[in-house]
Amino acid sequence: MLLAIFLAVAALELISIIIIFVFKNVLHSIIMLAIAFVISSVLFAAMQQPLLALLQLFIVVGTILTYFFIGVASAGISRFKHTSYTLLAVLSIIMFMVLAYMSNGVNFTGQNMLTKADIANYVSGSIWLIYFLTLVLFSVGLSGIILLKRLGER
Amino acid sequence: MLAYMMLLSFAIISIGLAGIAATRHFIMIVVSVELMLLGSSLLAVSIFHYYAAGNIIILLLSIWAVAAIEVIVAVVLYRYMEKEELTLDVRKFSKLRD
Repeated sequence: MLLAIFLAVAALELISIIIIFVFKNVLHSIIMLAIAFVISSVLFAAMQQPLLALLQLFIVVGTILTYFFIGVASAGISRFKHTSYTLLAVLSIIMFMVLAYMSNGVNFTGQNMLTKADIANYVSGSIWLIYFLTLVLFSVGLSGIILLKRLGER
Repeated sequence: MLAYMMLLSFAIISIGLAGIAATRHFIMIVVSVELMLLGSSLLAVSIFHYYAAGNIIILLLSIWAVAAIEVIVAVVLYRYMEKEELTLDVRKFSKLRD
């Protein structure tokens, strides 16, 4: 029963997040972002963290109001087809598979294989690898930007 | 249950990441980053809930601080773009080189 309720809430969250990219009007997208934030605060409350849920709602108020101001101010210039849906779907599925594979403790049957000892040993043991990968990613990104700028100048 | 929470968080982070690459609207890119921060905070809270390791408030406050700073950066960039009469289409950002 609890799992069914969670799955329903999670489905609502994912649907509201996907719809953000479907709307052409930014104001509608921001309304869907607000709904996604509220549903995530419901998930916080479901994990017995009512204070965090309340803080999340406060942050929603500030963030969404600011986005509303930007959305209203840019109403005249922001209505164009802005998202490639195919690219969004393909990239999100690929990245989801990569993240789920990299987490190494999640299988798709719902059985939890990640234990506390695994977190202590695996994550802290490979922390240097995470720093190294971050450095490599930063270097590749920076050199790519410099290269593209040089090519653009030609 | 933790596996489902992690999968949901991964899905949200993936959609945010893909949204940055797939959209060319300035505000939608900022919204995509917000989605990534939302997914990461959900992941942090779920792991804390199931393992109760460390203090979650500090991590969440830092994530929310990044989200708030991002909103401020969005406002500043929007003002700049409005002043320079640029559109919200990031493909036309090459004018920034001038």
